[in-house]
Amino acid sequence: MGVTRSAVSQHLQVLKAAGLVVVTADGTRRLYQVDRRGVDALRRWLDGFWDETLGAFKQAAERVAAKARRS
Amino acid sequence: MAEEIILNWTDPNSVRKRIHVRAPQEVAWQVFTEQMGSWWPLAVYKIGKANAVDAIIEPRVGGRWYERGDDGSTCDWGRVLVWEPPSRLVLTWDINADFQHDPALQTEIEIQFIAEKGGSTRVELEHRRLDRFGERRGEMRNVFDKTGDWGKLLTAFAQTAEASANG
Repeated sequence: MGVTRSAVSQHLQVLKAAGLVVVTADGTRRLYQVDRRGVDALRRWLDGFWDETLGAFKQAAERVAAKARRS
Repeated sequence: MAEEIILNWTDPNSVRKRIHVRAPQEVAWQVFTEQMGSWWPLAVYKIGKANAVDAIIEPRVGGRWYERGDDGSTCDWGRVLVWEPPSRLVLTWDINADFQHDPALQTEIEIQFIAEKGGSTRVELEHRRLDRFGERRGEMRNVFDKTGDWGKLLTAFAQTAEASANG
């Protein structure tokens, strides 16, 4: 990265203060991640929702294609 | 010793799916856009009071995406943002945490139909801009946290939809 370590640290502190990132410390390591609180349950739900819906679509499309191949 | 900074910038506001369909690109596009009512799980995923009998995408940019009930009523789900047959479709998903239509919500669903050899199609879906649920994400989390497995989630969804319809 073309910026200094202290500039990165400062930027991350701003993001953290704004509640956009969370930080976990492990010894001298600091892991910065996007704050996922609140969105994980929604993502889990959509994950299952799209699996089910796209699965139904796949079956329908393959049925139509198989019928077209036979005729 | 200097502190080590590790960044993990995966977008939490996006859900991605990829499936392979044994059907040519044109057929996959057609079934998805013209025959949605034949495969969408309408018994579960609908928002109107009436029994939903069809799901319709109007084939143009700005077109409506909606369900039609057995009493002839319609309920909007979203709009068409990009219409590029037979390869790319972008829809808005404007159904909020109360499972009601909110035209201001505008989360986005992009679906790409990619032709593969042997006459099959790879379908890639991204549901993004989930940040637009904003504070309401917490409310959705409450609904989900009360329940456990997927079957219970479906029950919760149906109950919420019915409560909204009756309320």
